[in-house]
Order: sequence, then structure tokens, then C-alpha cells
Amino acid sequence: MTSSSRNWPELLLGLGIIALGLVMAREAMGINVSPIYAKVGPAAFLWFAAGLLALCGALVAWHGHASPPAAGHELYGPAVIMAGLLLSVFTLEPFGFIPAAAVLFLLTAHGLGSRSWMRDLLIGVVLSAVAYVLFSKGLGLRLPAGTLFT
Amino acid sequence: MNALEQLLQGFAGAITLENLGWSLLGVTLGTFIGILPGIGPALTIALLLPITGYLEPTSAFIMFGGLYYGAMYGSSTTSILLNTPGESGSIITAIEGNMMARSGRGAPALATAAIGSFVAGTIGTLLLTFFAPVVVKLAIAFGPAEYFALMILAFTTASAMLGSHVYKGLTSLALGIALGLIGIDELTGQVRLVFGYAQLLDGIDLVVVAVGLFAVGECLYVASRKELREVTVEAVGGSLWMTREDWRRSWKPWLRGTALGFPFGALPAGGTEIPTFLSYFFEKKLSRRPEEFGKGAIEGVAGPEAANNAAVAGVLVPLLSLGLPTSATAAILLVAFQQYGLQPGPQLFVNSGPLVWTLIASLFIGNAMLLVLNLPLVGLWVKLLRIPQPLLYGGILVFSTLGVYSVNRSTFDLGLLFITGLMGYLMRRFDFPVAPCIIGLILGPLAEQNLRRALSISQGDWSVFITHPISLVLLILSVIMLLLPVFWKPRTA
Amino acid sequence: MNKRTFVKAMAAALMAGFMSVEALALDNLTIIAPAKPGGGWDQTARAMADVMQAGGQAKAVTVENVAGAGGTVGLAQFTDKNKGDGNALLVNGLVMVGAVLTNKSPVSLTDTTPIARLTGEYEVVVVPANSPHKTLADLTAALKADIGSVAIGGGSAGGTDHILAGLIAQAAGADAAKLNYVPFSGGGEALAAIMGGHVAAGISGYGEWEGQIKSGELRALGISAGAKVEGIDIATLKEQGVDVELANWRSVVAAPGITDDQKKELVAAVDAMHASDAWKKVLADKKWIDLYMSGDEFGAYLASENDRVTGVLKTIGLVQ
Repeated sequence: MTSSSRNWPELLLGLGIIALGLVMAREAMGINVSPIYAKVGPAAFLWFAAGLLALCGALVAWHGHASPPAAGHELYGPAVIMAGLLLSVFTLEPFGFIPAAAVLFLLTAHGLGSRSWMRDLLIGVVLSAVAYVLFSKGLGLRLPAGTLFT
Repeated sequence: MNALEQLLQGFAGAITLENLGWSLLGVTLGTFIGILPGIGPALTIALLLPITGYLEPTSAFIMFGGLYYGAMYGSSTTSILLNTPGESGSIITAIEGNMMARSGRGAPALATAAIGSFVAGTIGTLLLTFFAPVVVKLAIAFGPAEYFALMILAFTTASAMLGSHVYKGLTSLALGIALGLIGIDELTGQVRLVFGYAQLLDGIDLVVVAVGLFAVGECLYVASRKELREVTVEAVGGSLWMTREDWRRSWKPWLRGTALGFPFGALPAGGTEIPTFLSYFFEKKLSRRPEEFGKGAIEGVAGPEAANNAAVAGVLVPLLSLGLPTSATAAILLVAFQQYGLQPGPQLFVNSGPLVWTLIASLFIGNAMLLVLNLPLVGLWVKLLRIPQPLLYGGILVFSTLGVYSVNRSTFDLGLLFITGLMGYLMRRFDFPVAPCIIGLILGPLAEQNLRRALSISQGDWSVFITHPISLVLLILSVIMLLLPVFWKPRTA
Repeated sequence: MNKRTFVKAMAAALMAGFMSVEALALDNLTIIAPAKPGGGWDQTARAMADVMQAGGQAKAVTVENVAGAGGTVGLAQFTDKNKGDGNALLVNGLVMVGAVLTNKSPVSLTDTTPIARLTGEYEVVVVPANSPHKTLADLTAALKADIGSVAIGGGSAGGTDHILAGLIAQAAGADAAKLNYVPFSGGGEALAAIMGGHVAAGISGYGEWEGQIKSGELRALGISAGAKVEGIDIATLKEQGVDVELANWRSVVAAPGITDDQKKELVAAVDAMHASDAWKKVLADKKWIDLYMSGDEFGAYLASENDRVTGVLKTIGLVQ
């Protein structure tokens, strides 16, 4: 088997899952409550999950080692949408729901191949505004109005 | 006076123009909040509690009851059409339902969900009327040992969802179990996997994970695949209505789902999710065409949808007859009863009989109302799929953000949505099934806590799981479920 | 609609009666309920908001829910974001004292400015109707004989129920370090476990199990009040020789770093709220027991409760 037929992403994924298992194991070691009656304490399930993850990670890595890579994945679209989501985490409270959600809408549409910026922005603003009014006035949900300008 | 006469009197009380109006308001509002992930019946009823100061108790409970059923209903619509479950009870519906919608069978999927919900809701309410005392005994017979055995049985259902590569399904399950361990350990107060973030102390909300894995993950995946982006989903292919074949394949799953859902709802740690797993598992095992599962089998929609609605009726049994809340919504309903100075329990039927029977009657009415309102709308809902993909997903993400933020009013949860969305994308990219992760997240904590509670009560004696008869039966059933596929092949290959 | 007119009339009367208070009314008060809508802390915050707005102690009151981890998430956010803010209150209570300790929260209630203890609820000890333990003495004797065999069910680890179980075990002369306490997630789960006889005894707030006690499905062995409570026909623990008194109190605190004047203003506003008829009506409607205590007296009480809870949680091994 030549290295070009190896499925590097899957191999890495397997190693990542093993790493998660190690994080769980490290956490389990840090727990020092001794259960007097149950005999099964708070660390037991951590160890269980750690072991299961390590085992599964090893299997994923092994299969990645032995199978050819899949093709046809693009990264631009997902990256734009993820940027939009991440942006909303930081803009929702300072700028308020309507602008933050409208930008998320715009970037999501763009990430999925739309190139009509003006149309998407317009729809985004209208949709967010309607949702905002409906849920904050209708149901009394407290959505952020934005603190930056007050 | 027997139950039937009292129920008829209840109908007489419920069928007033005013009460029908409240019921209509409840089911409509419920449908809308059901559509939104994160905003569920518990939160909505809590927000509406102040109206108990202005409304007659009968009217308020009629509205709350309608809202509870309506939420389950609305949630299945978005699960099927948009792969975005609004409530945890319809996560499983998304698996087969969305596959059906994609192959142009969205309308029959919605119809089988609607009729199944109606059938289950009606039978469930009937059972509530006549068998409440029996079900209550069952609910109390379940202690920690029995729950642990039940969780083991429920874990076997994961085997129906592991997908073609078992190791990938197991990885997904393990990830779910790991996510479920985050937060304060219920039994010792010990903090686990929190990494210094106070917001993680209560664990990760199931809704956040479900929306991340399903809606966000799906959106990212579609964006990464050119051929998926350019696919235009056939909104309605073939019949808009259920065909004779659909009916034939749906009615048994409806009944089986009801039989599973109702008792689970009545169990204090049951909930609406676990019976949907069990229903899916049974339908797949019993189907003559198990190969259709995962590609849009109508049984996989009909069963779980009936199960979650029957569970809602089940929840009301211990609430009304014992004052025992078995779900978040039931706990809020209990507060509502107390606001009126009513104490649910055996005396409620004696002291406020007319109210209880009117409430039960109004549940029948609400159920029928949902069916009448929604069946004609199926054609309209399906048109959602004609919205161009960029705009459709843009809208889904906007509403997901709104819903997830509202759970705790916290942008931290939006950060979690981002992470679980990325997880959902990677799982799709590398062909890992998503459902086992949700199963692990729901069952893991329940299994762990009840195992440890049972062992604490028995002072470390493991034999409790086989000396308690119910627990023993459940464990034997689990073993049979796991071994069944080895010895018994489905009738058609 | 009668109720609304009634409240309006009451508000008008109060406005007239408290002109002096209104002069120093708070403009925009924020009350933070560190729990989800519907629970005890949330209801307290909302009742305060209604009464203070109607009574003119504050012109506008907003209630905010910051849920999580026994209130410690809300506490942490409050001490951080509202530092020095004289227009914010946080609802809290005994549960938070325990949660701060068990969660190893970096901020504690001593980091806040105590304002007032408002209400409280007493805890009951119950057994299933068919339990062999007929009296509290039977139960304490069983605890003394073999504490591990008496599994006691209740709410979350380190919460009020757990604290009371520890105090009772200590007072009964049993080895509290070996207490076999089984926490359940919601009131419903604990209740079912007791009614089904899966645990030997249970502890919870009286209100939560009132219905089951009255209908005879649960037998109440004792209540944690100092003296007999009006309207509750249950002997106190003290009367039966178990020298324990515990109230699951709820209080409000202000942000750290506020000036003495700001503190005085807040205490005065809450004092006026407590004195109002509207508040008395809330207490009666919700069956909350009035445990009012404000200012420095409450500050001292908070410190002593903190010490007592720390002691118990150390004994039962939850806190190192």
C-alpha cells in the first residue's frame, strides 16, 4: 500500500478521537470522591467513555489507514457559514438580534452558493425583524435589542 | 358516577365557544413554539403563568393542554421537512421523515405523523381516562434498579441506528455518552469535564446538541458538496395524500408506538424521547423491508410520532392522579395548579372533578382540532421545500439561533451550537451516523445515575438487578434483543 | 378581572401611603433570578417586581433569569457584571450556599452585599405509608443502629434536603460521615422513589409534598421548624428530641462594591416592600412563610448559615 492511497483525514480523525479519550481519562484521574455505598463513583463512567472513545478512535484510524480517501468536498461554503455562526456569538448581545441574525442569514445564503447580496440582506433583515417582534412582543421572550447604542 | 359519564359531562363543559377558543389558541401557539428549537411547552407555559391571575382555571388548563400537544405536532413538521427537530421527542422522526421529504414524499410523511399523533393522542387520553390507577402503580414500581435495566434495554435500540460501519456508529454513541458526562455529577456534586466554564456546570442542553448535529451540521455539509447544493428537492412527487400502501404500512406502527409511548410518559424518568427510540427499533426489526430504513421508511415516522404523542398523555397520569410531575412541562403545570390553590393528587378528582374531566375532554378536542387544522395545511407546509436552498438554510439558522439563545439567554450556548454544528458536519463528511450520539447523550446520564442510585441503596450489592423481578425481565429482554438478529433472520432478505 | 382592579386600588393606596419612600424610589431596578422561569427563586423575583412597582419602591423593575448550577452561574455573572451597581438585586437562598461549596464556585455569597431575608419554607421528613418506621424515634434509632441501611432520598447533592439529612444524622448520634443519601433530579423522581418504597425515607420542602402527606400516601415524621407552624399538623424535629432547626430561606442580595448610601436605599426599598399589604397578600397566596430580616442582622445570619452549612457538608464528605 502506497501512502497516496491512505485516507489521511480519516486517520487524523481517528487520532483526534483517541485524544478525546485521553482528555476523559485525565479528567477521571482528577476525581477523588470515594463512594461509600455505591462502589461505582463519578469517575467510573468517565473511564468507560474514555476507553470506548480510545477503542473507537483506534478503529477509525485503522480503517482510515486502509481505505482510499473520498473526493468532492469543498471548504469555502462551510467556512463562510461557520464564520457567520461564530460572528453571531459575539455580535448578538452588543448589536442586537436583528442585525446579528440578518448577517448570519446573508453569510449562510452566500455559503450555499447565492450571490444576490442585496436580495439576501433584505430578506435577512425582514425575517429577523419579524421573528424579533413576534417572539419578544408576542411571547415575552427577552431577545437582545443591542446594548451598543444605548 | 363512572368514568364515562364523568367524561361526557366533561365534554359538555369543554364544548363552549369560549373554551373552544382557548383550545384553538393553545394548539396554534403550541404548533408555532414546537417549530422553534429550544422554545418548548415548558418554557412557554412558564411565560404564560401570569395569565392564571386573569383566566378561569378550566380555560387556562384547556389552553395549556392544547399547547402541549400542539408543540409536539409543530416539532414533527420541521423534523420531517427541514431535518430540524424543535423538541427532543421528534429527533428520531427526523431520520426517516427527512429522507421521505427528500424523495418527494414529504406530504405522506406529514400526514402519517399527523394522523399517528391524533390516533396516539386519542388512545392515550382514553387510557388516561380509564386506566390511570393501574399506570400509576406501574410508575411507582420503578425504582433506580428498574430504571437502570430499562436504560440497558433502551441502549439495545441503538443497534438499529449504528449504520453500515458498526465502529462508526459506536464512535457516535461514545461521543454522546461523553457529552452527557459534562457538568455536575448529580450524585456527588463533583464537577466533570467543565474546564473552568461555569456555563457547563448544568451540562449541555439536549436541544443545542440536536440542533447543532442536525440543522447546522446538515447545512454545512450541503455547502461543502456541489452536487447537493444544486439538487432541487422535488417538493411533491406522486400523491399528496397517503396511498393505500402508506395506510397499510402505518396503522400498526401507530398502535405499537402508542403502546410504547403511553407507559413511558407515565414513568418519572421516562420522557418522550426513549419511547421514540424503542419504536424506531421495533419498526425496523419487524419490517419486511428493513433495508428501506435510513432511506425513508414510513414506519420509521409513523411509530415514533405516535410514541411521542402518547407519552404526552402518559405524563398527565401521574401528574393528575398523584401530583407527580414526570417532565419539565408537567412540573410547570403543577405550579399552574398550585396558583389556583389546587393540589393535584387523589383529592383533585374528588374536589375538582368537573375541572379534571373538562380538561381531559378538552384534550380530545385539542387533538381533533390539531388534525383538522393541520391536514389541509400539509400541502402548504411542503411548499417550504420549494424555497431556494440558500434562503431556506439561512432561515433555518436564524431560527435555530433564536431558539438556542432563548434556552438560557446565553451566547455561550451559541458557541456550543457552533461546536456541535462542526461535529455534525464532520460526522456527515466521514459518514458517521448522528442518531446514536443523541441516544448516548439521553441515555448515558440516566443509566449512570440510576446504576449508582441502585447500588447506593443496596450498599454495593449488584444482585439487586436480578432480584428485582421487573429489572430481571427487562435485562432478559435486552439480551434477547441483542441476540435476536443472530438467530432470527427477517423473512425477506 | 376583579383582581386587576383590586391591585390597582391597592397600588394607588400604597402610592399615597409611601410618598416619602417614593421620593427615593429606585429608577430602574433589575432583579436577577438565578434559575429558570417557574421555580421558587423566579417566583420570588417576579412577586417582588410586581409589588415594588405597584408600591412605588421602584419605578420600573425588570426580572432577568440567569439559570444554572444551583444559582452559582447567576451569582458569578452578578458579582462580575453588576459590580458597584446600586440598582440590581439577586434572589438567592440556602440552596446557593450549598451549591457554592459543592461546585467549588470561585465567588460566594460573602462577596455580595446582603440586603434581606424574605421568606422560607420548612423541610419535612417522610416515610412511605407502609413503612416500619412509625415515628421519628424509629427512624433515628435505625440510623444509629446501621446508618448505611437507611437510604434517604431527596433533592440534589449538597442541597437543603441533603444538609438536613446530615444534621439529623448528627443530632441522632449516628455517624453522619456514613450517611446513605440518594439524590434525585426532580421533585417527582424523589417522590416516586419514596412512594414506591425504593428508599427508606425522604426529605423535601413541605409545600412540595403537602398533597401526598394530606392524602396519607406519605407519613410525615417531623418538620424542621423551630416551633409548631400554624396550619401544619406535624410535630417539629425539636419537639421529638432531635435538636435540628432548618429553614430553606430565600433572600435578596445586592452587588459587591456598592456605597453605603446605595445599600441603605436598597434596604429601605425592600423594607417598604415587605411592609406593604400587597406583599402580605403574596405571602398568603403562595403560602410562603414570612422570615423577614434585613440589613446587618441578615448579614450576620448569612455568615452564620455559611459556617453551619460548610460544617455539615464537610462532615458528610461532600466538601473537603
